[in-house]
Amino acid sequence: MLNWLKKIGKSFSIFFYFFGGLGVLFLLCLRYCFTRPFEFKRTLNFAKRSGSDSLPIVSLISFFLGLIFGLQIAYLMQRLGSEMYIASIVALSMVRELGPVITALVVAGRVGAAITAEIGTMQVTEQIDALKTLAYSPIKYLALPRLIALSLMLPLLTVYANLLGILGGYIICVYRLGITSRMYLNITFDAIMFKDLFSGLLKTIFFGMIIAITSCYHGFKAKGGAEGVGRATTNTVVTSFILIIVADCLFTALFYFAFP
Amino acid sequence: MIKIENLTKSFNNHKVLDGLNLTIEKGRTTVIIGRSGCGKSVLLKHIMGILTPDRGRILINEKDITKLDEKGLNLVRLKMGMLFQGGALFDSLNVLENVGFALIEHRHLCGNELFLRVKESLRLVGLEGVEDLMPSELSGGMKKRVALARAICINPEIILYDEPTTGVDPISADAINELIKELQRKLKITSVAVTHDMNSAYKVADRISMLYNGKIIYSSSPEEIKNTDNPFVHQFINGLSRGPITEEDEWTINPK
Amino acid sequence: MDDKSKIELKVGIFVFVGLVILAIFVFSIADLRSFYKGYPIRIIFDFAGGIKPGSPVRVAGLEAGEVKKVNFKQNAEEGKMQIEVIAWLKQNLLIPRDSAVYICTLGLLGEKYIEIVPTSDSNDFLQRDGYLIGKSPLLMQSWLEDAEVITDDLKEVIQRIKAEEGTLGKLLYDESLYVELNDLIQRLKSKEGTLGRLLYDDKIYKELEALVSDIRQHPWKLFKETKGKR
Repeated sequence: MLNWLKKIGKSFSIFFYFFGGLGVLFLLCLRYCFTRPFEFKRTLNFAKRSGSDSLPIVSLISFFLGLIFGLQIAYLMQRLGSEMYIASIVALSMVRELGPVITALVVAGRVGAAITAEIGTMQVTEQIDALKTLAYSPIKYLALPRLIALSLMLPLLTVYANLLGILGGYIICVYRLGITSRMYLNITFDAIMFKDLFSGLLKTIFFGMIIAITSCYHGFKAKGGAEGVGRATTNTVVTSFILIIVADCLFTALFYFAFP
Repeated sequence: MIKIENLTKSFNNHKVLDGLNLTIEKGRTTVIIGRSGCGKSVLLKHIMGILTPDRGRILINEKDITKLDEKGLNLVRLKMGMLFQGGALFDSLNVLENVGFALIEHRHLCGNELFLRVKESLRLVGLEGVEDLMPSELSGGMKKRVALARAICINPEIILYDEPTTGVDPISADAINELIKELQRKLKITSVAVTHDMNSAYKVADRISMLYNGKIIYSSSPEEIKNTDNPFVHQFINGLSRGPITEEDEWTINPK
Repeated sequence: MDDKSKIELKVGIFVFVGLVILAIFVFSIADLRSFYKGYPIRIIFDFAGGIKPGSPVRVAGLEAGEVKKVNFKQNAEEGKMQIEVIAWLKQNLLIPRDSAVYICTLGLLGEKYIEIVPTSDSNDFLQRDGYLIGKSPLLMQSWLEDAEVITDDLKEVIQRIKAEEGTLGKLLYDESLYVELNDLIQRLKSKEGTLGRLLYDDKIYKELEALVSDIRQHPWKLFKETKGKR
C-alpha cells in the first residue's frame, strides 16, 4: 500500500517537475528575449529549417486531408441530398481545427524531434557546457531562436495548410460532384468568419511555443549518450502531441464559450 | 588563486563530492588524479560555475562564485577557459567560428581582426589552415587542439583541462602535454587538469592532488608522490589492481 | 555569405506568400468583405424567431446583407421587451422607411433569414443606423393554439348538424322540406293556383300581347290625357 502511494507520488512529482521545467524554460526565454543582442541570424536560420522546409510535407498532408475529408462528407451529404454544404463543412473544419492541429502535429514530429536530437546531442557531448564556459547562455543561443521562429512560422504554415485543404475539398466537389468552381468558392468564403480564421491561427502560435519549449526541454535534459538522445526524442514527440491536443481542447472550449 | 572549501555535491542521493578542500596556486599547474567516475569532472564543472554545489564555497581571486548571479558568473567565466574531454566543439559551426566564438559574441569582432586572433590561437596549438573545416572533418586529436585554441582565444587567466590526453594517440598526447606546459610557461596561466593518465600528470604537474571518496586525500609535488607511503595513492599511481582502493569492490579482482 | 542570403531569400518568399494567402483569406471571408461597402440598419421585432448573427438579409428577394448582432431592447414607451437586430446591408441600397420586414425560413435545414419588402411609393429612405419595424413571425405555438380553437368550433358545428339542429342540420337530415317542395312542384305543374297558372297557362300572355300591339297601333290612347291638357 505504502509502496503504491510512493509510486503515485513519484509519478506526480515527475509530472510537476516536467511542467515546472517547461514553465521555467519559457520564462527564461522570455527574459532573454529582452537582452541584447537579438539572435537574428540564428532565428532566421531556424525559421528556414522549421518553416519553409516543412512546407512540402505540411502541404501534402493537408491537401490529401482536404481531399479525403471532402469525399467522406460527400458520402453523408449525398444521402441527405445537400451537397452544397460540403464546401462549408470542409472550409470550416480546415480553418478552425484540422489545419492548425495537423500542421502542429507534423511540425512537432518533424521539427520538434530534430530540435531534441540536436540539443540532446549537444548536451551529451558537453557542447551545452562548453557554451556556458564561453559565457553564453544555452537558452539564449538555442532555445530562444527556436521559440520565436516556431511561434511565428507555425501560423504561416497553417495558412498554407488551410489553403491546400480547401483546395483538396475543391477538387472533389468541382471535379467529382459537379458543383461549379465559383459556387464552391462562394460557399467556402461565406462559411468562414473572421473569428474562425483568427481562432485557428491564434492557437497555432501557442502550439509553436509548446513544440519549441517541450523539445528544447527534453533536449537539455537528455543524458546517457545516443540511447538517451533517442529516448528524449521519443519523449518530445509524445509529450508535445499530448500537450498540443490538450491545449487545442482548451482553446476550442474557450472560443466556443467566450465567443459563441 | 582558487580556493575550494568544504565542497559537497550529491546526485540522486549519491555523494560525489563530500567536503572537499583544495587550494590551487596562481600560475602553477595542478593535476587532480583519481579513478574514473570519482567526481573529477564534477569538480571542474563546479570551478567553472556550471554546477552549483549543495554546500561549500569556491573562491576565485577571493570572490565566491557560488553566490554570483549569471551576469557576474559570465564575467568570471570570460577569464577562464575549459577544455572538455571530447572537445565539445559546436557541430554547426566551422573551426573559425568555434575558436572565435567568444570573440564574436562578446567582443563583437569580425572580419580580419577576428581571423588574425583565431589564427594566432590555432598557431599556438600547432594547427594551420583548418579555419574553414567543420568539426566532423577533424580527427580526435585535432578536435582537442581546436578546443584548446577556443579555450585560450580570449586570453584566460585560468584554464581547466578535463582529461586532456584521453582518447588520443600517445604522440598527440605528448604534444598536448607539451602544449599545456608551454602555455603555462609563456602566458603564466593557472592550470587545473584532471586525469588518470599518470604519465601526463608527472609531465605537466607542479602539484598533484588525489581525489578519493569525494575528498582530496593527498596533495604534493610529483617527486614526492612517487615515494609516498599512502597506500591509496601508492596503489593508484602504480596502477595496481590489488590494494586498499579495490578492497571494497572485490569483483574487480575476482569477477564472477 | 551566399548561403546566408539564400536562407534569407527562402524565408522571405515563404513569409511573403503566406501573408498574401492570409490577406486573401481575410478579405474574402464573409464578415470582413463587407467592410468597404454598405451600411448598418436596425430592425425591431417583437419576436426574433431564431434569427442569429450571420443570418442572411434579403431585399426584395435578393440577398443583400447579413445580421451582425441580435440584442434585447427595453421599449421604454410601451414597457415591453423587444428584439433589436443589427444588420449590415452590403450595398448602398435605398430602402423606404415603411418597408415591410419579415422573418422567413429557407431550405432544408430551416435556416432563418430576414426579408425586406420595399414599398413602391415613398421618398422617405432609411439612413445609416435607421430603424425598421419588423412584422413578428407567427409563433408556431400560437398557430397551433389557434388551430385548436378552430378545430373545436368545427367539431361542435358538425355535431350540431348531425343532431339535426338549426337550419343546416334540418336541411341535411329532415326530409319534410323535400316532400313539401315536391308537392309544390307537382301542384305547379298541374296549373293549380296563381303561380301554376302564371307558369303554365298562356292566356294572360296572349292578352298582354294583344294589349301591347293595340297600344302600338294606337299610341294616342296613352297620350289622350296629355293631349287634352294641351
